[in-house]
Amino acid sequence: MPAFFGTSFVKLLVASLLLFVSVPVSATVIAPANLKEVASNRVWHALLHYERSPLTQRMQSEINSPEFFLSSIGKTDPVAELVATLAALQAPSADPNQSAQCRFPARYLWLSNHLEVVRSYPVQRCDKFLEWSNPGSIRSISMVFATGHLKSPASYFGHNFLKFNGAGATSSGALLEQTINYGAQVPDDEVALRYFYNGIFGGYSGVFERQPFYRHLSKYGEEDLRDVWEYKLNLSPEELQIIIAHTWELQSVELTYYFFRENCAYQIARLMALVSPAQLVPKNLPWTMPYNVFDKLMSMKIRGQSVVGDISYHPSRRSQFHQRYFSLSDAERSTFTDQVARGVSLDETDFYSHSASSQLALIDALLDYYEFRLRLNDGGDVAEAQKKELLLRRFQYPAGYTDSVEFQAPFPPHLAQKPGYLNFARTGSSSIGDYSEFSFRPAYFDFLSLDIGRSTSGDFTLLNTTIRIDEDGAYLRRLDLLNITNLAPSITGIQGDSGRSWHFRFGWDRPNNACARCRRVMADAMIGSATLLTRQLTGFALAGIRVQDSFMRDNSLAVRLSAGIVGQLGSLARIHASVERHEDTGSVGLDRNRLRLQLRLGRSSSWDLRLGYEKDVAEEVTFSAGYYW
Amino acid sequence: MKARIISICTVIVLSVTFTHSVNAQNGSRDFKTALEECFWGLILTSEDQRGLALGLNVVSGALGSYAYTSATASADTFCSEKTASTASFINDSYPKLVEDTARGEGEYLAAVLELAGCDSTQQGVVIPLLRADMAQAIGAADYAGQSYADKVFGMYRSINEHAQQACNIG
Repeated sequence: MPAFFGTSFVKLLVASLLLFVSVPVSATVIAPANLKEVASNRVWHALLHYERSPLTQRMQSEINSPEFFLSSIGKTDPVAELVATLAALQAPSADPNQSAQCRFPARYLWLSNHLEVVRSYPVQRCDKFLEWSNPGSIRSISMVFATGHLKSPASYFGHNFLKFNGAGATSSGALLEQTINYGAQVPDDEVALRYFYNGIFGGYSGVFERQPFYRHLSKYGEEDLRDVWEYKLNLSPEELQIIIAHTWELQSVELTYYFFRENCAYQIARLMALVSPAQLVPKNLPWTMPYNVFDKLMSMKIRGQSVVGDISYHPSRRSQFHQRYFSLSDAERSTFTDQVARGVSLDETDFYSHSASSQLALIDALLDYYEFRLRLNDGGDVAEAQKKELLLRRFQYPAGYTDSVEFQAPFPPHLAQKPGYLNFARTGSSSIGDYSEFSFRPAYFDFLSLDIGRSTSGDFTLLNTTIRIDEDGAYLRRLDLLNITNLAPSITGIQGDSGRSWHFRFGWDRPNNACARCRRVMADAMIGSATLLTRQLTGFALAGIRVQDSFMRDNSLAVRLSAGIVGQLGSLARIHASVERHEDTGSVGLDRNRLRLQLRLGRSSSWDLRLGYEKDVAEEVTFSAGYYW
Repeated sequence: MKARIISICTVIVLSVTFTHSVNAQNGSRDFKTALEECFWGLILTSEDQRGLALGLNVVSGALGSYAYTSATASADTFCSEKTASTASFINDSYPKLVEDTARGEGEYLAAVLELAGCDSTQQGVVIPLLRADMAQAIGAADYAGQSYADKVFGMYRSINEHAQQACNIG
């Protein structure tokens, strides 16, 4: 693909004009009808970030910075902003870099392709823009997905940003390539409650930042231990040109950041509106998740072809360690395990009994292991000392060893279970007869969801709602505001490889299944551990408390114990089974055991069938069909 | 945490500015001091995305003969955007970079040397020198007790020194 920026902005414009010779308008004075037509164009709206207000139905830009608009009413009037822009584009400027052409090169390029008169305007030389855009160096754009994790609420759903790619393979890879990232400006000492409130209700400014790619790999891959995926986009030189020019215009502008809707996924996806009418942002939902954007990106076509080209994988330090460990032979793994168990110094005899290439593979795997533990704030001085010794050992070998491990990409995140879920269930109960239930949740996954693109084999659901329908009518049976079970078993079985397993739930639910209309507000908090029973089956045990509203009864606190398994059964089924002990601390409490078994059939990201059995005072058998969206 | 970094930054920038004026009166000073000030100012200001706000400039030349001049004395400086990029890269990627250095190759090592101004041929000259330096630094008895920032600075100094000698620094 040819470089799309020439050595000067003039060349860029000439090339651009030649590419768009069949322009509809040809007049030095633009008719009002033409102005209206151009101002109502989808790309003009994308360039100015106009959105129709759901309340007033008027156009309004999402950008708050007054300097972004050339008309005093440009924030709410696309035509006025167009007229002001056309006037500014032909105005002389003492400093060309401050001219409208150089401040808004994307507007200039797009208008010059749609209004012939713009081509007659004197061309300004935009040295600063040329320096920033690094002429000739950017050959493609990728949309990047950093997978989610449960360490921080802001990271639950993952993160996305754009990456500008160079000409191809270099010895430094993609590390020095530039990215455009969108994030909230949050004060460092922000307290949690204010953080949530401001994040949800628009209390923070959102800004676009330009950063080298290595910073993201350091943040997500090393600090957060999150895998990073890169979706390379098949864009023409002209499409690249307008996106890059527009990101220049977005420097220093401020928007309002909303955690659920107008977040990173939304703003990065909206940049694609410059090159395609396809909607990457779900239109009628009050939230935008990176998953939704990548799901739609995979079906987006430009010029009849899929916009996504290659998908590449940047493993986190945790994934690197796991893959290096599993690439070792049995004998090498034995040395690895002994080494970790023994502590500080390498066993010379055992270590040197391996071939030279095995020794190097062992050093690499151990380096990843100790760095991984240090990232978890685990291992302390021992891990530091071990890493130092391993590095010194590695310095004794010749330089130039080629890594023997080629990191294998797991399933990319767009193949994950769709996050929204609708489910219709029919249940037979030993206590209250047969009934039907309709369940709904906007996000994100439960124990039986596909195990793709998830940071845990547990569950994480928001606003999980169940409506029961029986002979007395329909009523709300359950509403979970938040339900998270983080299961973090050791993948390798090596000490320190596991994380913390815990569960938190806050919602409104029945105390047991023998009572049809009993409901309580309850909060569960549990901690425990998880272990990998097989490569696909995780066992867990959790203990904690439940705090519940007690009304007139003295049982507001309960102790809970839970143990179970979750994972894949063959290629088409998933299982979640658990036993729980519930002991109320009050004098009139109802101590009981709960047994639960759930099976999911199907590997589709869009639907499933489920079978369930539950004994919680009464016995119930459930069959359900679900649709994911 | 960041607020703490900003306050530390302010103190250091102030102290650098003060040192600047003192040394400007003295006319010159040694390379190590100038380099340290340049490095810390760049690291701390880049952490805060405030760019190169340091009121300090140092002319480049042969090692050991650096003269300290006023900020307008020369555009040919090592306390420049290139230096900021190199320092920032090492600061963000030190664990990966040290591992690559021990291996004698890798994307992180190639990237930092590219930032330092070394082409692929020159990198072949610098890498053995850097490996030797880092083996010595990591083998030192006090390595474990050093702060992360000190380790980063040690590597930055070594890369900068070898790049000055072996690569086309313009």
